[in-house]
Amino acid sequence: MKSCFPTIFSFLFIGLLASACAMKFSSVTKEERSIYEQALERKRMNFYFDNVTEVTSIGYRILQQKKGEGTDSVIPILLAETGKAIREMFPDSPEEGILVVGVLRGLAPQDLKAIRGDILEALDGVPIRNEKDLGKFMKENPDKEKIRASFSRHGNSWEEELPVVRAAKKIRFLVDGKTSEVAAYTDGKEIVAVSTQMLRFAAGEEELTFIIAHELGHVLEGHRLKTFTEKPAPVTAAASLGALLDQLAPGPGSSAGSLIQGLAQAPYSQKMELAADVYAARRMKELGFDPAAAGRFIKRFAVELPATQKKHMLSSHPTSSERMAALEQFAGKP
Amino acid sequence: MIFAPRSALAALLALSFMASSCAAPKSPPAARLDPVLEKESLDFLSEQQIRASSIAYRLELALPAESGPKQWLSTFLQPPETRTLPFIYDDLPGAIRKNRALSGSQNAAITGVLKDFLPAAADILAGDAITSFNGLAVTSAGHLDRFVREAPKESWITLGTAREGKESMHRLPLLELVRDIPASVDPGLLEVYSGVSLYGEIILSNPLLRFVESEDELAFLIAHEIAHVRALQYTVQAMTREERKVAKIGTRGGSFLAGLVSGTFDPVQAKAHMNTRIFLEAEELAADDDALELMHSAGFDPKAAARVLERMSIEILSTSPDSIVRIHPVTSDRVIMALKKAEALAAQPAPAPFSFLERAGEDSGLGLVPGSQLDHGGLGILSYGLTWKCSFFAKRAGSGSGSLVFDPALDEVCWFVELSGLESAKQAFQRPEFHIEWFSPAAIKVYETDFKTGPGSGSRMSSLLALKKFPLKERAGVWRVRVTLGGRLIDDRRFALKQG
Repeated sequence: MKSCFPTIFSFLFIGLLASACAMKFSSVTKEERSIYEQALERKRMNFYFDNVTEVTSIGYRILQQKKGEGTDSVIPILLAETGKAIREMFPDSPEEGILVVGVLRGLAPQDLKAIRGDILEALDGVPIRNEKDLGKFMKENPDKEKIRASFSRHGNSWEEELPVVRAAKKIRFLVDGKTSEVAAYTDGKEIVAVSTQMLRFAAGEEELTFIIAHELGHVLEGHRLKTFTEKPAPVTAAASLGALLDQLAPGPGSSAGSLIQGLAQAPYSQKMELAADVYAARRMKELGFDPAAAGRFIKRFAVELPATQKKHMLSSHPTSSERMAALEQFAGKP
Repeated sequence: MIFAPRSALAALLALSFMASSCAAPKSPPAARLDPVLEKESLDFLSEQQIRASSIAYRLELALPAESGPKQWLSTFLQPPETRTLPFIYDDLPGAIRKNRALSGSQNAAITGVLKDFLPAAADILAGDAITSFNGLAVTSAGHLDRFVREAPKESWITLGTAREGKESMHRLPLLELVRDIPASVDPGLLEVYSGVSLYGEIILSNPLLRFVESEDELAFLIAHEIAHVRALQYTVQAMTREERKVAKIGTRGGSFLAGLVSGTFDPVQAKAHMNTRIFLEAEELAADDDALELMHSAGFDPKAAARVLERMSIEILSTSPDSIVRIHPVTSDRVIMALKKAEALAAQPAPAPFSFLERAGEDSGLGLVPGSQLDHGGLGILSYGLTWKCSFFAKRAGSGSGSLVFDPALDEVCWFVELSGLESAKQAFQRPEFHIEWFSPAAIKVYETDFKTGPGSGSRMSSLLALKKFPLKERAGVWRVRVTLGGRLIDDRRFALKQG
């Protein structure tokens, strides 16, 4: 009986406290809230658009191939179909159309006039209204090196020339805000995702390049998962930024939340992890980054987040020292 | 009564453990440091712990005194663990001791120092072994915990340390807090997290410490959790270091680290001691409100609160109910109210810049705090000992406090003790004994006396030293009274008499 006392007491008090507080704090009006939330939504959209553009820029610089090589062609602009969320942020955008979300840094011309919020109307004179049109156009014109793109802003149209990037593979890059863990993951086929807290953890462009290149390494080296207990949420080709936009409208039961569950813990073998590291270090060197940043990142990750270093026997990832040793060995090769 | 809540907590602990193991079948594996990177990891994690502790102590020093029924309750339920040292310490396992060239008998070592709370002259560093406290040998961190708990209030202490075999002594201030609510950084947590444990401690994660962009932002998150702990209508009893080890839930900074090295720390167990109670919206808003006021009085910038809350709601879209960010509209309301409150606080006069050492007063070198002087005939007494109290908490004797009183009319100095919780003492097989010794300025033991607690002993006991027995000439100088309870030192203070 005695031990019940504090529990009952606390419930009683919580009830009293709650009613007292409700009276004390009712000073936020509906109007204030809606004004603030509109502004917050814009900030949130911009945050994800900025970061997904940055991650995609780095990703396609890693994926970029020489002329004549590579299997896929992409234009160096991140696009999204106008949906409800987009139209709330850009009220000018048409009901059906494709909107510029970001311009890929290092791949698009520096003096490109198109910016976020502009509408892509046509490519080489062919009208583009949705992702299907875009995919069809890229498929029908596989060997173009340059494309004339028409954009419009507030009803004013103009044309600009865009280079076509030859990529080893077409990959959808996501920024995952559904988890607050420091994580990056891939499904091994078409998605590479980086969590918002990983973006915070990565120190500078070099480390971020390593993280993305490591995940791309899994995809390009054809690593298959040993087991796949949970299927990742289906991300269709048409939903370029659709998955991202799902994340932007948080609500209980949103399907995008399950994305991380199946993927973040995808068990690649130790050998595959080392191979992905070596791929990443090689690409970094080719892109003119210091490959030593890879070792620095692995070390910092192990030092600052020791709980990620699992016990040897259960580990899917090799220990950080093994990874660092493998990278050193790679650096020693001519 | 005193121990009843413990069983309730144990039940809660078991329940929440079950709940967490059901909810998360993919439990994280036991954490262990990479042996190659062990030193770097320990240094990094200690640094993070120091960041959190410095802010928590600074906020707790600015807390208003507790009053009303809570104060009454806390005298029963809360052990007087409100004193703490300006550094964090722990028992270091053999591997690290070897690494740092510490000798075998020195288990307790400093794992980090709180620079804001240390005198400039104090040369103590993380890695130093702790050898003594006020002249008493220290063999383990638990040992030191007890000495600190039993040390006289508002005093400076003497700490002996060893570095590379060389011993040295330091004078350090004790931090006197209204309430000690430790903030621990749990390296087993991989998500952005801040919360309150079942034992009224604040738990933070490493990703959270990376998420905040300034110490003001971190101060808001800690102040918010302090507000939650203070709002709990029952006072929880803190676990001792030994109990934590058994339960495999390290905390108070150091234990987490040591546990990681030895592999005894279990993140799953640690998660189980987190408070799974979800706070109501109104409670969250109340905690924010309290937190902003506390930040203001501790000299932090309350504007940081709105910034960190907003950034959280942007970067972390998690919608689970125990998530750090709640679903709309709570977060929006929190940001709007934080902005309003910060503006209101900005209009108030700014508090004086924070300086702990100024508050700690000057060290007389004798464990005395200098102060006003009382004149009496041919004698004056120079000591705050008049109002000094020492508090202690012993299982068999209950708890109590000892005071030193000077009576000018009778020329007597009296050390007296008031006890509470004698019920347990009555049942005790062995009754502890108070042993009181008086020393003259010439360091000669002039008088000693014993008294036992137990049935019929009453709640007040005292030992008198009649000064008139001594010639005036011999009275001037520093006197000392030393009290032990069941063989353990509970009070050791000096008072100065001077020629009027």
